[in-house]
Parts: sequence; structure tokens; C-alpha cells
Amino acid sequence: MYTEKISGLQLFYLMVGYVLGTAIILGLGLNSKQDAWIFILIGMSGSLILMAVFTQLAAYYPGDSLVEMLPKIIGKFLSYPVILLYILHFTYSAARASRELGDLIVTTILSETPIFVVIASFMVLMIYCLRGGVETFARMAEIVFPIYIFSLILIWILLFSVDQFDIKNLTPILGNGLMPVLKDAFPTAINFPFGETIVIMMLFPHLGNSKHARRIGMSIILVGGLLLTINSIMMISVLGPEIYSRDIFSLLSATQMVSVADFLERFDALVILMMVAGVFFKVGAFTFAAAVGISQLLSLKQTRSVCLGLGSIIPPLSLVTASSFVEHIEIGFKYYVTYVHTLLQIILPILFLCIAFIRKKWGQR
Amino acid sequence: MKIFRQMKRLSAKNKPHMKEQSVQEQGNNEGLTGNLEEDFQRIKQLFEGAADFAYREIEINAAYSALILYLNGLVNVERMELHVIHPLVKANEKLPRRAEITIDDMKGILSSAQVKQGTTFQEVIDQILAGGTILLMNGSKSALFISEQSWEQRSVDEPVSEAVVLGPREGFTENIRTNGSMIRRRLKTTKLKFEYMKLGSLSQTEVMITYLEDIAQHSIVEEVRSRLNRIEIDAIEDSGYIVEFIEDQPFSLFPQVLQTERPDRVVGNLLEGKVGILVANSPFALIVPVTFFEMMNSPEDYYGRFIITSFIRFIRYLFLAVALLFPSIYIAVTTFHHELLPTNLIFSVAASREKVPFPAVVEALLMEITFEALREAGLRLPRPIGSTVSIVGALVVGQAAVEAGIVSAPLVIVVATTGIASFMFPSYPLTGAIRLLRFFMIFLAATLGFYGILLGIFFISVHLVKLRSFGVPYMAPIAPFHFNNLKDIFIRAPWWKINERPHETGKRNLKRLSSRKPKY
Repeated sequence: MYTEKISGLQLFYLMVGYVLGTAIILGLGLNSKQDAWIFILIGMSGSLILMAVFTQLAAYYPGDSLVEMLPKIIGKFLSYPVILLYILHFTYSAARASRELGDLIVTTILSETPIFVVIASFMVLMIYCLRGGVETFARMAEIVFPIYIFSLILIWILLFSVDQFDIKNLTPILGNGLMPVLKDAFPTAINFPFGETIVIMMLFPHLGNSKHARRIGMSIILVGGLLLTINSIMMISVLGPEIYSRDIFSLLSATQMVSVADFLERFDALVILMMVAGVFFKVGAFTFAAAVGISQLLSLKQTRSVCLGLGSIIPPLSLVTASSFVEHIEIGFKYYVTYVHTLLQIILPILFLCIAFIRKKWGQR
Repeated sequence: MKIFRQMKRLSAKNKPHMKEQSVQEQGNNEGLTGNLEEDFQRIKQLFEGAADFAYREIEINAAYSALILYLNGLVNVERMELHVIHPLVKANEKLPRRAEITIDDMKGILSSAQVKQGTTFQEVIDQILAGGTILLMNGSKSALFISEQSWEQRSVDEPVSEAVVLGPREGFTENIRTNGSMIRRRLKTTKLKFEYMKLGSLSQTEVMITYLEDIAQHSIVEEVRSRLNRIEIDAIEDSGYIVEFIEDQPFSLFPQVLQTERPDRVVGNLLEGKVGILVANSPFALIVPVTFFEMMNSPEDYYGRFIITSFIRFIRYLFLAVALLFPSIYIAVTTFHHELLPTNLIFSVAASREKVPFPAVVEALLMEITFEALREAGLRLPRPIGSTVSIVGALVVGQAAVEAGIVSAPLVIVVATTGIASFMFPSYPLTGAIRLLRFFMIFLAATLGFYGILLGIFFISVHLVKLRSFGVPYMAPIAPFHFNNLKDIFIRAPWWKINERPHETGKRNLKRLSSRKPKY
């Protein structure tokens, strides 16, 4: 069934890029202000447990994707609506990520271009890539990810040159105590972006050496979380907690402040590059997961035409769900991440693991 | 591509007898009769109208006469006179005094190096066509094939398309045997194999597959063999014909077969586990499988000092980006993102564009197409007038156009830099891909600005990682990643550090070095 194989390194690159994806541009933990980095660390630690759940499920049902193992866990009839929910979740998340890209491009560099053109042209690229199968997608990750990380580190180094850079912006650390941050972090910090790594369960069957699945999964969360933490520290140091919590594209605002010797300035291009690359991972993984989910649910022989169909649904979907970007962010963080993500990425997987555990135990007797 | 396949199927249906109609040599598989007159008439009939067909009758003694057949121009007549005709005329004295003389006796008389024997008409005809000299004798059911062929040919010369400063200067010629010998001289081992085959129903072109046993993978050699055997065409005039037949993805712009004029480059690749294909009458050998990064390497890289080479490679990749992107970045900046340039620079660009009546895209397309035309004209023109083109190009297109206010000066700089950059690549077919993709990028930049350029780069990357050359991923060893092979990609590590063959092609026998560099 899974003839296409990807290596552990490819999966790692792909998923770290996916975790950073839109989160690094949008900024996390906006309500926690200068404690945003603690917010991210809390999310990361919580997600390590979540990743253990995902990898344990994958270990119980080796060679099965999420969609294939669900009927084995909760039975055939109950699984259909749940699978459908996941497919909808993946599709909508892909649409959300492409909307974020579209809005960033339109507000920054292409102010007179219709947003639909931006999203649709990106989707054409995505379909072209996914039609080559997961191998092509994974190899793209190997090419794009090093450039992505290089740009990120370059931006960090450049941020030191900003006059307003002041590490004291981080103080007072936990001025109001740990509780407000904790309250804020649960469950949002776990859900976005770490909880979204649930798509890794659609990729595990393609992994060449599945023994390393857990190690790869954990290092994805760790590396991704640490990079996000450093990034938020840099952002807060440059922008200050007040601007950080209000700015939509904080990385972009910070980068725009860079000016080396009055000549090397305008590094926006790097941020745009990072955004396109990050959304490439994100939309790619979500669309791939949704396409594989649909084809496995309907027992189709191939996913290529499903990708094509999804590719024509996602751009309109990304636009009709919210009339403005502010509304889009509000729907996202207030409702979608808080409720839907919690249900699909935390509660249900843990429930499945419990059922699977009981089944395995009883099955053995 | 599916649509092409369907069209092909349809057209094949409409012409069911196509295969039978194609011109081919008729089967002549019967054996020689032994009756000299009868055999000769039959062969002569086949060669009727071919003015280069020549023959000579020699009487050995009263009872036996021999006949020599050959094609004028393919045989070294002087040597034939010396080693074939002269001994035969004098044969009477040497031959044993007995009633019967067989063709085997003749073998002892001829002083040529290569003499073979054959019995069917088909063999005789093939040998004549290949430039052999044929000896027929009455009463004998077999013929002797004497190999004294030689024809006018170009001498070994410096390769024009892959000139180097350091390193060997000899390039392949049109003679496949000379080419084979150049490879053999560099690899004096019995592991070096040459496999002969003939392609083209009319041209009967000799093709040699060459590889190193124990290093090249069987699966790749077998794949090359089977892909070559599947070629059905009337004539192969150059190795370029074969390229299109054996490529994995012929619709891709990127070459998936390396064409080279240099024997040292072939040998270098054989040592990495690749397979070479030599084609008669073509000075270009083919190498498969090949990756993108190998296309970017020049053979000179391995002869020069490694630090300098690494720097030159860096320049090469930098100018790969320039050749592909410079005009499109210029368009994106001047039409969409003025703010991306420092203020002083944008002022001077804007000032020079003030008088220009066209939008930047039109301007750039105009200049790029003119440049391509100049390039092509420079190639086609007879050499003495070639310099005229460069004068016209530089003065008229460059200076006059700027002064007349038709194009802006910065654009001329952009186009000129791009033009120079596109000549930097060691592989000529790759240059073509980059040149064509430049127009694709210009189009994207004109519609979507910097975002369009990014999308274009992503499109090209997706295409490149999808590509395979004989099953080997085109972007190896970057995607899929293989750390040990990075020593010869963006940098060229010193030879004593490149201790492994490329993983994708050389995994049968990875080890290259047996010792470390001695310390002095």
C-alpha cells in the first residue's frame, strides 16, 4: 500500500517546518505579553505528552494511518463521522494557512493584487507538488528547510543590530505569577501549532524506519518549540511586549526595523520567503493528509485526483470563511483553536489511545 | 503527456501496416552456394546503382579464381593491394601442389591482421557495408572478411564545447574506435567493458555501452541496454537522437543525460559507477544516470587546486541564480517593490527609466529576445563576419538604444550580466533550460512581483525533485540527502578526502581510497 517511503530526516524537516509554519510569523501567546516565551514552553511540554500519545497509537497499529486505524479502534460505523471530522479539520486548516499567506502578501508587497489570485496561484504550486506524491513533498522539504532555517537565523542576527533591541523588555518575568500564563496556555498553546502535528499520523506509514518514529516525533516538538521560544524572545526584545501583543505579523514588523549601515535594510523579502516556505509545509501537509484521508475513506486507488479536487476547494473556502483578516484571526484563536482543536487533537486521540490500550490488553487474553 | 500517448495509439490504429512498410534490408539469410558466378551476380544485383561498389577478379590457377568485393572510399586501397591482392597474385607459387584449394588455404596467404570467415549472404553484405574487403572463391561455401577499412576523418582535436585551461586537451572524434581507445588508454583494466550494438534499421549505427564491472550497478546497465534496444528508428545521425529516446522525462527542460566531448569526463563518471554510451559518427558521448549537480561541475574542477575550485563553484551557483533571476528581479523591483531598493539606487534607476516609453516587462523581453537572436546569429555566421555581429550588438543594441531612450541603461547591464552568466555552465544543454526558464520567471515577476518569483523558484524546485535520471533522483545528494556525498557538490574537497563514490550510483563498491594522505 505505502510504496513511497520517506526518510526520518525528511519527516523531521517537513514537520519542523510545519510547526514553525505560520506560527513564527503570526506570533504566539499574544495575551501573555512579555511571558509569551513561557507560554510557548508550556505548550511545548504539554505537546510532548501529546506526541507520545500519537506515536503510541502508531506503534499499536504499525503501518496504519490515522484514518485506517480508527475503524479498528472504535468500530466501522462510529469511525465514519470521526474520520469525516478529521478530513474537514485538515481541509479547513489548509484553507486557514493559505488565507494567512494571502493576507500577508496582499498587505505587504502586492497591495493591488486580488487575494484570490495569490491563494489560487499558491494552490496550483501545491497541487503540482502533491501530485508527485509524498516523496516529492519530502524532498522539497530537504531543499526548502535549510534555506528556511538559514533565513530565520540571519534575521535573528540582524535583529541584534536594531537600536531598540533590549532584552529587559522581557521583565518582569511572570509579573502576575504563573497562573494567568498557565490559564492562557491551556489548551491554546498546546493546540496551536504543536497539536496540529496530528497530521504526522497520516505520514507515519510512509516512514522508512518506523522504529525511530517516537524519537523523530519528540525531536520535532522539541526543536520546533525551542525555535519558536527563541523567536518570541527576539520579537519581544525588539518590539516590546505592548506592540508584540497587538501586531499581527510581528516577525515582519521586527524585520522592518533592521538597518545595517543605512544600506542593508528592507529584509522583508526574507520574511516573505519564510512565510511562503512555512505555508508550503503547512498547506502541503494538511492537503496531503486530507487527500489521503478521503481516498482511504472511500477506498480509492490513488490520491492524485483527490488532491486536484481539494486544490479547487481550498482557495474559495479560505476566503468565504471570514470577511476580513481580523475576523479570520478571531475565529481562529477564539473558537477554532480553543474548541475544535481541543476536541480533535487532544481529547479524541487520548480517548483512542485508552480504547486501543484496552483492546490490546483484552485482545491478548 | 497522456494525450500524446493517446494520439500515438490512435495514429497507430489507423496505419496498421506501418511497420511492414518501413524501408529495411531484406533478409538474405541463405548461405553462399559455392558457385562463384551465381553468388557474385546476386550480390551485384543488390548493389546495383551503387557506384562505389567495386570488385576485382583474380585467377589463382587455371581451376580456381577468387573475387574481391569492397566499397570504394571505405577501404584503404594501398594496404589492400599490399596485403590482399599481392599475396593472391603470387599465390600460385606458395600453394600446395594439389588439385583442390580451399578458402582455408587462403588464410595462410593473406597478411592482414584481421581475417574472419562467414557463410551467409547477409554477413557478406553487412561486411561490405561496414567497409570490409570480401574474398570469395569458387567452390567454397564460405567467404573471408578482411578488415582493411579506413576513411578520411577528423583528427583528435581540442573539445570546442568544453574547453579547459588545466587538464587533457583531447576530445572525442567521429570515429567510435578512436573514442573507445581514448577511454581504454585511461583505464587499463579488464573491468572496463565495451558492449557493441547496432541501432537504426538503415544507418546500422554502431553504439557502445561502456561501464566498469564491479562498480556500475547491474540494474542500471541492464536498464541502459533495454532502453537502447527499444529504439526503433531508421537512422541515428548523432548521439543527440538517442538522448531523446532514453530520457526518463523527455518533456522536461532539464537534460537527464550528460553529453560530453571529453574522454576524461567519461572516465571520471565511469569511476563513479555510471554508464557511458558511445555512438559512431558523433563526437559526443552520453553518460547516464546524471544528477543536476554533476551538470554544474566542470572536469577542470578536478585538476585545479581544491580551494580555488570551491570558490569557482560558489561563483557558478551564484551566477546560476543570476542567469535565472536577474531580469525578473529587475522587473519585480521596478514595477512592484520600489521600496526594496536603497533610496539612492532607486533614484538613479528611476531617472534612467524616465524617458523609456515601455513598461519594464516589455523592455526586458525586447532586450532578452534581441540578445538571444544575437547569440544565435553569432553561432551561425561564418567566422570572419562573426565580429561584425558583436560590434552591431554592442553598439547598436547597447549604446544606441539607450541613447535613443528606447531602453534604460540599467536594463542593458542586467541583460548583459545575465547573458554572460548563462555561458558559465559547463553543460551546454543545461544552459538552454536556464535560458528558457528565464522567460518563465520574467512572466511571473511581471504578474506577481517578488511573490511570483518565489512561486517560480518553488515550481522549478518541485520539478527538479520529481525528476529522475535512470531511476536516480535528479537532486541527489541534496534531496534525498546524503551527507558523505556533499564533498563534491558545492565545494570540491581535496582528493584524499573524497573517499566514497556517490551513493546513488556507486553503492556496489563505495570505497575509493585505500589509504589516507601521507604526512610530509
